[in-house]
Amino acid sequence: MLIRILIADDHGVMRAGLRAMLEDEPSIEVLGEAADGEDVIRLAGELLPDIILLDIGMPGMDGIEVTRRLQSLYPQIQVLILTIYEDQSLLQGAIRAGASGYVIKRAAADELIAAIQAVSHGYMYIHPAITRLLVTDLSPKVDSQKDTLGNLTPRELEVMGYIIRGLTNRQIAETLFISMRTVEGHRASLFSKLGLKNRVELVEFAEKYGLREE
Amino acid sequence: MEQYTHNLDSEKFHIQYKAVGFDGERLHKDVAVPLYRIVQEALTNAVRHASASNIGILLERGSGKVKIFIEDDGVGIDLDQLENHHRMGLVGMRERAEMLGGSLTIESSIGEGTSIIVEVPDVNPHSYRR
Repeated sequence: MLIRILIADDHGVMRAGLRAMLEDEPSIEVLGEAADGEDVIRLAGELLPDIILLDIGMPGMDGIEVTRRLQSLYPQIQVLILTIYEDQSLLQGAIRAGASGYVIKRAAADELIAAIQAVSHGYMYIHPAITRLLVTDLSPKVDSQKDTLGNLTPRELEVMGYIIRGLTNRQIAETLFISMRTVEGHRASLFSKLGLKNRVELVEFAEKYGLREE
Repeated sequence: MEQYTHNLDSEKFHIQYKAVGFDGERLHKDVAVPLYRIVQEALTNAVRHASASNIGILLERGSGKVKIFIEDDGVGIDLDQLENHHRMGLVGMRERAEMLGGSLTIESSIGEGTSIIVEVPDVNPHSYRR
């Protein structure tokens, strides 16, 4: 059975790219395109697609409001959010508004197709890169942030020391005779283990726990 | 700078700012003004081109140097394609840093965010006494 899709995005190039990509897929038919929220609601009523591929950041009515309205007007239509935002509150807002899926724009083509197929079967699809944002409240809590230092590998601790001392990734790579990629990997891993977003937070963490040499 | 980043902070993106090593002493304006412009340009890039949602700005002073790290969690830049990014003002930022006798480094990869690191000599006379 064909999955009938309406594409909604305010960027023409994005719509054209999505259409070209989806039209290559034999199980999918693109019924139309909408460029803003009003358009989506109108075309949803005229075309009655199975799934609306919906951008969140459109001018006027945003994607979450559009989702809410679609949900009340045409509850049989599934909304699959396609967005650049990897953001917990937007993700939760979209799900609360009734979206059946949330895919980020950096996803691969086959991931988007998989999302469309999952949603068409009545499943909910959240892109794996952001699923964690939905379940943070369920993750085991660590007593203190400092305890998480024990979860770092010796190499991660070493890299952390150099970051605190103000070295760039390249300088760390040269100091440790390892590749930039490897340094980036250690850095991403230690930031994630410590629950930190950037160097500002790492320096604050280091000050708080006396890790910074003055 | 703190005020500037605070004003820009919004629902769409969050800016964290921290200055270290100042002890209440201001930067000389010959350094402060170009650095401020570099930060403005970097923030514009991060928000406009990289779709960043979180940006950290760390300003560090010590050992006769001033160093700024501007880190975003945006889409990242393919550094091999950097020639195409002239329009993004990276060249102007580097020129400002070099005019101060310093350097600008960009570290980024697709999907991993971008770090811009600027290091310039501190022109505050106090720094030279060390």
